[in-house]
Amino acid sequence: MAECNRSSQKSTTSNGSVSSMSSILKILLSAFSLMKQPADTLPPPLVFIGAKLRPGLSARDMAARVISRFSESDAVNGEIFQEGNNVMTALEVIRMEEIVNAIQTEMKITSTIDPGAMLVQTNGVGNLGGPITSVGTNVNITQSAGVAQ
Amino acid sequence: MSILNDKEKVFGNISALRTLTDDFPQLKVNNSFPSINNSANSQDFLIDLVLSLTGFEELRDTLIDILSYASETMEDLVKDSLKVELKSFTSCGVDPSLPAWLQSTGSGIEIEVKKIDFFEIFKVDPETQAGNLLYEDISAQLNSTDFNTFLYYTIQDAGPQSWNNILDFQFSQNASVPFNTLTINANPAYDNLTLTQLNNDFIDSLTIFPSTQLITRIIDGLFGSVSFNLSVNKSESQLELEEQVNTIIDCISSADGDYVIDDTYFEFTNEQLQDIKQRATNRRNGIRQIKTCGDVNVDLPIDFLTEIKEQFSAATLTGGRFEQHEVIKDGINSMANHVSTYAGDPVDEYSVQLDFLGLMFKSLIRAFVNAILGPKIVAIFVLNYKIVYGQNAEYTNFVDLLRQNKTLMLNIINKIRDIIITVLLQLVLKYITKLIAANQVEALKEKANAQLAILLSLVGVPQDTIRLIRENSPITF
Repeated sequence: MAECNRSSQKSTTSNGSVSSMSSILKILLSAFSLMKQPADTLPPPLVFIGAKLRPGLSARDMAARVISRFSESDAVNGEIFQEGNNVMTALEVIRMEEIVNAIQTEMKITSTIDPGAMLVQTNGVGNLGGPITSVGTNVNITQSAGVAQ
Repeated sequence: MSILNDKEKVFGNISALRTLTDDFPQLKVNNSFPSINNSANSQDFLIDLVLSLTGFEELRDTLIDILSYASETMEDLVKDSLKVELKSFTSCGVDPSLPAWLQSTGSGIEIEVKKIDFFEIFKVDPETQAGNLLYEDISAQLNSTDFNTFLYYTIQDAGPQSWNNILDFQFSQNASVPFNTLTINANPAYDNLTLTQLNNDFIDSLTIFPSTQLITRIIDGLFGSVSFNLSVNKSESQLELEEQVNTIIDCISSADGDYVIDDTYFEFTNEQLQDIKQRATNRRNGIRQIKTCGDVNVDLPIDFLTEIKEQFSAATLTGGRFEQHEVIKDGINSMANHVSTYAGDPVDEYSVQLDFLGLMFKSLIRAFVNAILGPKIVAIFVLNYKIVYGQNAEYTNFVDLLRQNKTLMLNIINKIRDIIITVLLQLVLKYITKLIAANQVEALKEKANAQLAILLSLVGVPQDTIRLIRENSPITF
């Protein structure tokens, strides 16, 4: 249909009808914005022990895994590690290297520990009313919540 | 800018959800949807969304719901709106009693038939194939429950005829100008009643939206199936006038609510006039161009409409709503199948069928408003017009009449549009909710799977083993 003639006169009162485009877009867009559940907390003792066993990030391993799954999305695979000239696979390696590099060299995690979460046992020698010097150590494994930046 | 951005966001969100969710057919979302622009036409946007979200069957059933069930609600709303508008039209400074000239003993209103019959319905004999589609309750003739049928046979008859003892009509061929006139008087029973009473009773006595007539109007508007028929054979100029009216309806229904509907909506640009002429020419030739690999001329013979009408009448006599629903369903199926045979490539047939339904949806408002602009409503409207502007007041043409009564037009179009939009919006939200729910399930599975992988990695299970476990897990994503 050809463009309609349009009045240049604005109405003094907006009709606010449910049929207006702005109302419909508002309704539809709000349908997509759902609240998400917070992630489950991991058992602290397991993190305490298991984290030490982790191998750390490897861009090559990650790129290799992504490339090996190219076929799942019908992407063309290639021999990137043996003089291959497949742009997709080369790009994947670069992407992973940059992501890992950024995480390893630029990422900062700011964390907090809930008040009272850490129990501290202190030992000191009485000093007849004077200040006591004590040495403390936390006696339980305490979790902290962090935000990656 | 913001409307376009928000529209793209909606399509983008749907596209993302469908990509991430199994068991939903992949969405063909691209900018080829004509409604992805800055236009405020909410109906076209929702139709494109529905087309991308649902299949043929769901879309067809929604169309049938609007044609059969929602039209009943619409009929009540439109009647109420007409009553209110006519009351406000005549309330300022007008004596509420009927003027002496309109009473049964007065000279009445003399009006040319063509001034209330803008769509040239009365040129078609009800006994013909096309006439059978344009009139209801034909066999009862002057006692018909359909006002158009009653008025057609009144025109064939010499004497005055009364419509439900509300208004009396007498046709006269006249030897001189104006030819072919109708004289309208109030029935003696209304001589001492108010104009509002007469208006309300007359409007209540009408059936405005019979389902099969709505389908006929939609298909004739798209393919010219009835206008092209030999017994109708509408002229190019008549079809151009009809397309002008359709353009006005389209523009008002797609107007942004923040702007005033002024006289500019009743004027046409050169581009619009070119469009109007093209559509009129196509209807006169009984074709419509559909886009597949190239433009193809498609016809939709009147026989499809006749079959729907006959079967619908039989279903009304013998069955109930379910049977009527099935008749319309079969009719739409066979018309869509017929149109899809022009697709050329069998791969395109389904999308041509979907496009056909989309076209029917986009013509809904036009079909409803055209039904209101028929002789039924125009007759009572002209009567009020003459009371307000004088017994001899005239309007130059149909567009002029619409322009003079744009508030009424706007209110009626908005009421019809609101109902159609509500039905479409409910359908879109239903499918979006389904998609979101399916996606939430997938997201929960993903979360559980990730938790499992993290725990396994923390107890020293190698990556490859974790991958193997995840791939064989009952909650794989």
